[in-house]
Amino acid sequence: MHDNFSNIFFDKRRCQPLFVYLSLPPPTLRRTYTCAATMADDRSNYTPDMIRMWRVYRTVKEMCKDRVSSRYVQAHSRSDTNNYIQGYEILEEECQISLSEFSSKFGLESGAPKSVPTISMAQSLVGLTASQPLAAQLLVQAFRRHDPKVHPPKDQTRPGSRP
Amino acid sequence: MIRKYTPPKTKPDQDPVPEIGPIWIEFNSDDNVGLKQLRDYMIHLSSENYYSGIMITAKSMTGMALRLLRGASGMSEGPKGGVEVFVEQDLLVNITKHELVPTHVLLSSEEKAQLLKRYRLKETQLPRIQVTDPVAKYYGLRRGQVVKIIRRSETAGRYASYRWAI
Repeated sequence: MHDNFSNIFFDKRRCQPLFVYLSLPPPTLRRTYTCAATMADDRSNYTPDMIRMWRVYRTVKEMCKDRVSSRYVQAHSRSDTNNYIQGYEILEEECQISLSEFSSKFGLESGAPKSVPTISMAQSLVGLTASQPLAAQLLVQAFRRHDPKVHPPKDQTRPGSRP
Repeated sequence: MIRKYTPPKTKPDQDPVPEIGPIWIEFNSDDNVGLKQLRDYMIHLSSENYYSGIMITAKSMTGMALRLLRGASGMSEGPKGGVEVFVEQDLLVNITKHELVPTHVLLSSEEKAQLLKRYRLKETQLPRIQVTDPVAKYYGLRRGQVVKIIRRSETAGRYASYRWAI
């Protein structure tokens, strides 16, 4: 009986469900994610702590960027875009910062293994784009806690990190 | 964005101020993060006139600090927009890029009013989402805001549902 079993969902000859195509959107609609782990960077040059910081940094940038949700603005209120300000305006390149760039920007001894990186100051960003009268500039800044400019250095090494 | 964070007009307040401003993001690498670090951070924020802040800690905070944080928006020493605290572990990957996480879109107060009018609902009749939900934390949802969640559907193409943040 099961041999004669035919189902609208299954093409017996191909032995695969017909609705495969439906369950996945066409490739153009699929969101692609460039993985943070790129082979271009030789991981052995960096401490795990550095790599961790780098990944967190990227996510934070993306997070601030996503809070604008400019994609939605474009899609739904095309006539109305002037009334929106892209608040935390973050470039795509900043979200995609590579590990080597990151370590040269923030690591004291960049790339040196066995040294614990200390992030000094990341001044990035960015003002307003639209003409709305908002007094305050919207900006994002990130810095490491032990920046001597902001906080007097207490302990340069980061506890709990592997050598 | 400005519109999204502007509260609705009320009779006494015809020109409401958008509830968004400069943000200060700080990485904290201390081994344990407690009241002291949080206070320092808040004082720093309010002295430098930042509207809100995000603190990223290496380890999770102590219970007392969490309690302080919950009441932070009403506190005189903290910044107006409140402080969000994330543990590094939670931000290693961007959860919204996962294929199983549907698109979340924050509605402005006008869009929310339209939605409620269209379906003749009160906001309490909407399904809810907790502000401690990982995606809600990612987007920094505040109580009372409504998100539109767009899922893809095999039969309908796309399916939108709404959640009220509590």
